[in-house]
Amino acid sequence: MSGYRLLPFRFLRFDDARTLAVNEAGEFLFVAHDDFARFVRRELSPNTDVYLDLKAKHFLFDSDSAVPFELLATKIRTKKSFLGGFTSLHLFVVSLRCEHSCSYCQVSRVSSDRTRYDMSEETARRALDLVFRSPAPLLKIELQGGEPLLNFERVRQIIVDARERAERERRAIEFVVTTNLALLDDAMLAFFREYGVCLSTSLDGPAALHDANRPRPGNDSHARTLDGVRRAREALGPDRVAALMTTTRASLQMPEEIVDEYVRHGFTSIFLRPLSPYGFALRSARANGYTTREFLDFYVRALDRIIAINAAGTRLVESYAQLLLTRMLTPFATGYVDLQSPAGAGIGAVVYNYDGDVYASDEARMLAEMHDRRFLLGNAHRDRYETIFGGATLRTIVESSVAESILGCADCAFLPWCGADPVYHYATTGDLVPHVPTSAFHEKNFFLIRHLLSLLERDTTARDVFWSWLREEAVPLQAEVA
Amino acid sequence: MKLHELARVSGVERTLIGRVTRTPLADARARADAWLLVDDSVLPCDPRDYLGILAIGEPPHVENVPLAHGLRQLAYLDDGDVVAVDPFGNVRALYRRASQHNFILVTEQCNSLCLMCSQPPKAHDDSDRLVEHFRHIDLIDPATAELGITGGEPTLFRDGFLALIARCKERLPSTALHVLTNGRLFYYRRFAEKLGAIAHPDLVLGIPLYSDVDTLHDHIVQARGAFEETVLGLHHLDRYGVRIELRVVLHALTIPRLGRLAEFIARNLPFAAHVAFMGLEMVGLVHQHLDELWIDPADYQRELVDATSIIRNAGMSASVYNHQLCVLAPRLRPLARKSISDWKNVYLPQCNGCSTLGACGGFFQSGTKIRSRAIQALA
Amino acid sequence: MNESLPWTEPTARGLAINVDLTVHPLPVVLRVCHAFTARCYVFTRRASDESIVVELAARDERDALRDLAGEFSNALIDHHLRAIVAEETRAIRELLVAQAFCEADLLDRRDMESGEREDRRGIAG
Repeated sequence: MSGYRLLPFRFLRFDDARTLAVNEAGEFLFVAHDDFARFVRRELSPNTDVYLDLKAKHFLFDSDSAVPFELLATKIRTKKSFLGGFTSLHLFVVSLRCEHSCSYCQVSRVSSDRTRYDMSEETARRALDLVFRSPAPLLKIELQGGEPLLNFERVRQIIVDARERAERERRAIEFVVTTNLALLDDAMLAFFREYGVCLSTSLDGPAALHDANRPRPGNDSHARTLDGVRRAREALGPDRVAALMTTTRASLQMPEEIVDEYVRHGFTSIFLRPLSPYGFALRSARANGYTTREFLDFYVRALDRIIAINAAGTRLVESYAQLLLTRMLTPFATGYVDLQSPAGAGIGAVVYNYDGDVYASDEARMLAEMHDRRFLLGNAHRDRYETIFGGATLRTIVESSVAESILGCADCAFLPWCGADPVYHYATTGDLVPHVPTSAFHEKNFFLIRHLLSLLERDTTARDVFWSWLREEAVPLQAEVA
Repeated sequence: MKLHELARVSGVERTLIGRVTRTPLADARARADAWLLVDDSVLPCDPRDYLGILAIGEPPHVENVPLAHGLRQLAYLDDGDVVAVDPFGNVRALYRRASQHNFILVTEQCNSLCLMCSQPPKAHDDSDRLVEHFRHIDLIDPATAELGITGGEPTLFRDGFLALIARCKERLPSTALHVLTNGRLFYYRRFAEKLGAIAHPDLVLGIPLYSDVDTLHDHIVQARGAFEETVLGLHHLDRYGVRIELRVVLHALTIPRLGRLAEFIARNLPFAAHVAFMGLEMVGLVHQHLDELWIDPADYQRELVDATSIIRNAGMSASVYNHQLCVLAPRLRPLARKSISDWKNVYLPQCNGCSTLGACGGFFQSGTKIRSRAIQALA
Repeated sequence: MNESLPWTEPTARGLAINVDLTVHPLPVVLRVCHAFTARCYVFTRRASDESIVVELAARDERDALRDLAGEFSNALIDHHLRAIVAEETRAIRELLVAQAFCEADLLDRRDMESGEREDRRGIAG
């Protein structure tokens, strides 16, 4: 063939000088506007570097070589490989009760009524039957609440049973318990140690902020959490305890202090999360709330601090940036269910509520607690696996969350790195499909991806730190040799 | 160190391959496979049922036993080494038990003709060598840690190549195999599938990739379509679980896009466990293409730092071969491997007093004339 | 604030841009209108068979309509180009995605699937 032909790609005028081009597998290239214009007009000379760059990154082809097609097909398959295993993450709400009364908490109840809000032995057994119908090669079971340690007997039962069944069926299985650690005792720790359980907890920042966000009797949440972290690390190992934070209005002014709190207490990752638009969080929006723009300003400041800390040789990964960067900079897929196309709700993760109701996601469960059962897939006592996972509700979720067919997403240069979250869109607008130009989901992800790209382009320190987050090694390469 | 010497022979009617022994052997079957090595014409035992006698210097008096004598340079041979002696008196050391660099040169034919080839291929059909290779594999010590399989292009024998790998697995199950191949024939998926099916426990294929752009790679290896064949071959090998090491030779044609090549590898070949960046060997065809290929290594350190960072950031290991340590940027020195084999590296007068001499690969004996301006003794 | 740009016209509500549909097809114009809905109110009115009037009106006083109109015109070009690239590469894209999720060979793999002994490509030389 003579001349060249285009391969599928997306683009965005990135700044005054350059266009960002992104191919179908998420590889990207910055091209000067003039070169880009020549490229799409097929006037680019094959002797130029930009031509060779575009060719090698599979934006154009100029021969009958099968390489671009074979490699692109392989890379697209790899990027979408999260679809292959079907539902891998199974969340159990073992109790709706909690002894904390966090202002932003979606749905938990301060109550001593065990029969009403705790998962029963029978419900747990039924839910496990459903878990083990999943074809996923690796099963992850996450036990949460409320506060799951308030119903520790159920935690124990689920983990013991699941481990036994996994061994019998020769399947890989992992356990995470999401807990505020306030009720953690030595017997529980010994059990977690025996079963290789990881713990995930909440740390919102310094004591004053944390305790204001997370009230409990005695107002000692911060102290109890950190004491629990210390004991858990001793018993289980330093890498078995992670924490994440929720950003409230009070957090916005203190990103550096929050990040420093994580470093001070030896965490190697932090997850900067905005308030979720569900449950009580929505109701208390006036007191707690802020605009997406305010959250993003907070995030940028926190990320700057995190980068500086890493560059000085202390590893601290920001989990959301790490997720986005993995998508942008590596050929691999990610398992994060809230940002996939199609969405991970139901097909990547599923929630078994204390009463046996099965929801497509934790957000779907919270919505139901607000009396909207739109995303109820079925009930572990009443429904069969086929009805729950093959039913109309889940099909609708999947069909409406293919970003490739959403107006505003389909054309977006960032689509290969982004996704859709129909439960979020529904909760915020009443429609499963977002109105992209006004969507906070879009605003946040578009801004963050653009911000990360800018840092990658102009800040070599940040770039090196970001790459170190994608490796197992502890420090950026630049910090390795003086 | 010489691996070949012309001896005077008698009674050698075909190529005889055997293990060297300096000490008399009790086992009759072992004697039948052994060249008895004698010094100063002193026979330590009755030589009659040995494969033959190798004599350093003057021959002992023997009859009806194959004999090669007059050896001087191969006097280092020792128990367990393997030698081949042909009717013309060529004595070749095929294997030395004490060496870390043993290899089987499968064929001298090649389907590429790389501009910088250090061992230019020969056109004649040498497939009769296979018999010798099988014998070679059968005779070497199963305790050997690593064995190279090289060429020419060893896969050209196709079934013969697969049979060699299978034989190694059978006879040398604990010996790591490192195969140097251009990988082009694995473009045929089933060939890769057959290699994977052998399930050798410790096999790595070292495969060169010189550019992220097909035309440039094809030019460097002087074979149209080679990039396509190698890249798709790499994917086929990965599909069948064959481990891969990529090899990039650094010269004036590969340096300008070295970072892009590293990005290409990270995105398209992330299954490669290791990427080796190799300095140019100043031997073979390189001298015919020196104008096109030569670049002082001192002038590509920034590119090499970037490329190795991209590879390591992608979670793969990166190594730098064939570079004198003084030429490398300080942060590359930990990645340097001393690859120049023990029988061909030398040092220069400038190297006297260098503190890193012990860790440095030095120079190829043949490659000291054209060298980096950065050569110096390090404090 | 509405110091007029040459290709726009001030209206009671804001600024009007006349788009030549022989240059930018209607679906492209509507996509751009959609993309601007968060930043201003967008009204469309058919002016003739070959043109459409897009009217941008400020959501609040501070919006710089002039900038928006400029961006709108650039966005028309970008979205038009996206439509062209998408159309030109549609067949390849569909083939790639299908091949990515399909066990069968949709790409031509006859040479690759022949054997190394047969060597249809003549690789062994």
